[in-house]
Amino acid sequence: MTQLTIIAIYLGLLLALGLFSSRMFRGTSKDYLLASHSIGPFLLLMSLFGTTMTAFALVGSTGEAYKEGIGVYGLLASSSGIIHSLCFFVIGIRLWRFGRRHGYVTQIQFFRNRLDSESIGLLLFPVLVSLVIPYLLIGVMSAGTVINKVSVGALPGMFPEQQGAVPPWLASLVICGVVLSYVFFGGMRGTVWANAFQTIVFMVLGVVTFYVIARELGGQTSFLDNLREIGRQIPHEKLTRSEMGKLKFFTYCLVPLSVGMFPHLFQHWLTAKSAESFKLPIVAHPILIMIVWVPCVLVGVWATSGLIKIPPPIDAHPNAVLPFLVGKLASPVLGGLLAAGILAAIMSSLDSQFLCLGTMFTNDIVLHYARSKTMSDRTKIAIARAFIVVIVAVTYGLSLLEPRSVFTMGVWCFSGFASLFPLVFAAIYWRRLTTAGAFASVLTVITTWCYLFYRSGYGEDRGYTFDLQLFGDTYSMMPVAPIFAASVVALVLVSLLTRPPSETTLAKFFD
Amino acid sequence: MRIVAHLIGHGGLLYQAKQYLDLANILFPRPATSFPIRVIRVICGEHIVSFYEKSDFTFIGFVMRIIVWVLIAVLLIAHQDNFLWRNDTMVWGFMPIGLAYHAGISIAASVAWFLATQFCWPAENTENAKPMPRSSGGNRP
Repeated sequence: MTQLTIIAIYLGLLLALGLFSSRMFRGTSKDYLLASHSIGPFLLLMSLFGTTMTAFALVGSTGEAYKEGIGVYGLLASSSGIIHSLCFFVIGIRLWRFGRRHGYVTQIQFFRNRLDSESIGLLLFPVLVSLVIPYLLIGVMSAGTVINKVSVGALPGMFPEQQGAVPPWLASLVICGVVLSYVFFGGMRGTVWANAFQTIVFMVLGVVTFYVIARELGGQTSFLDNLREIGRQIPHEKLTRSEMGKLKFFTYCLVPLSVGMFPHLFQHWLTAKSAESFKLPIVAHPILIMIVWVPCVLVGVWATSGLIKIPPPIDAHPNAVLPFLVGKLASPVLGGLLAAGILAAIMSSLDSQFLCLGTMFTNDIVLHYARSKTMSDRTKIAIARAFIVVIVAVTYGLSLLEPRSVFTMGVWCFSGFASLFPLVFAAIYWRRLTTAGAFASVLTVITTWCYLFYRSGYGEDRGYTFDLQLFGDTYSMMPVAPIFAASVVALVLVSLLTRPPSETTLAKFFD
Repeated sequence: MRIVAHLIGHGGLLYQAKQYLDLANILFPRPATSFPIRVIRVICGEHIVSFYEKSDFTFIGFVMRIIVWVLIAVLLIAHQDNFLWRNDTMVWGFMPIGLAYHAGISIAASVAWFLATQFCWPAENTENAKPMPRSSGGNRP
């Protein structure tokens, strides 16, 4: 009951923050969707970091480290530290500048203008939406599961069939309701404020959890002695990357490039007050990743030390390792706080994605085809809000079908976005990019992605790699590598073979 | 505190470094007249030099820009630490060396990006982009 109470208080605080931020709403669509380009460095840092870090940063990193060892940090975190900041620097600032200059709200508006093509929007829209939806589903379903697991025995009279736990359908409904409330009323400003609050919550709780687990697991007098004692017990294979392929590790570096094509990050970039606001996120992002990931990875490998027995059901589901350790080693209060932290990580991504999809449907479909110039700002906000409600409702409805296979799609969604990175990079820096080249690139990504996804048993084979046979040797790499390479080749070749864009179009984007 | 004062205080290391940078800028005042730029003109051609002149950077800025991007490329290469693949040494008795190394990469990335924001920050980013009359805004004209 303690844990459930803490979660309820946390959700209440979040609602209050979202509703308070709505008092600053200026009544324009630009304010609702982009916070009137008023977000300064700190809030931009927190919202970008909170949006890119999902629950995976806490429970997934611990679970993967438990399974694979310390190599997980290099595979997923340190590469992201370099490449996310690279994307903010070379893509984010430029797109922010174009957005301010031409009044963009969505990525598709930028691509339609840059490529002088109506149809590129029709091609990109379903691709981007299809890649975001599995991600949303993972968030909604995970939130329901987290609350269900931590509330066992809390309400025995109400839910006897769930051992007194809040059923996942109800927990997911509450989470969707809370996120919808602050996104609906607060728009982008509410989302940014809630993101900043939630990012601070999950970072602080991650570090506190690390300290408590080290103290309880080590059983020594000082904190450093605890760390050393646990360190001595970790098996050799978890301290090295002996079971990890070097080429797979290398090609995984392409995955963080997905940040350059996330539609929800595009929208966050546009909220910046000035280009100077990007400096803090660019510099601090790698450090924040380190602060969250290093403790979680250490806790994951500590769980293999034998100092605590991991029961078979937890061993089979590594994502349950962190909640299990907290349940065993920490007080119910910390357990409740950690659950709130995990929910914070989930919701700080969900809100941006809900708002982004609502914005895309409003701007790229309704306003684009309905001659928006005759529409008042009030109507535009009403349409955006209506779409946000519909998207939350549809996502929640889909989550009730419990499509568990969606959990296997995480890395595939990232691979899809990463393979579209050459398109956005070329659109910004390469004058010779043509509409046909862009089409060729997107169609190549769709084709190769679908083919490799099929080859992986629709994501069932989690360890699937693309195996290249060369001179009798087999080179195993992440599927993103061939998709990315094919995307680049198609983009460059077709662009060079087709007529260059007009000078009028280029003049809008190149000095 | 003394160490910090020694680094950034008046007469400290960073202060002195800046004096040297200023001196270098005086020695190479404008790209077009400086010796290194004449060399670049001969080697790379007029196109590169005119691009450089338009950019309004000092010579030191130009060199630092190259250094920072090389540093980031080095970080990406250093990320592939094959030499530590099977090393199970514990740093300070509790931190696996593979993890400590990559935590170091994260810190180095932060430093490299700090340098990038100092030396590679495009001049156009120093002032706010003025919102221009909305051309088509991506919507149908």
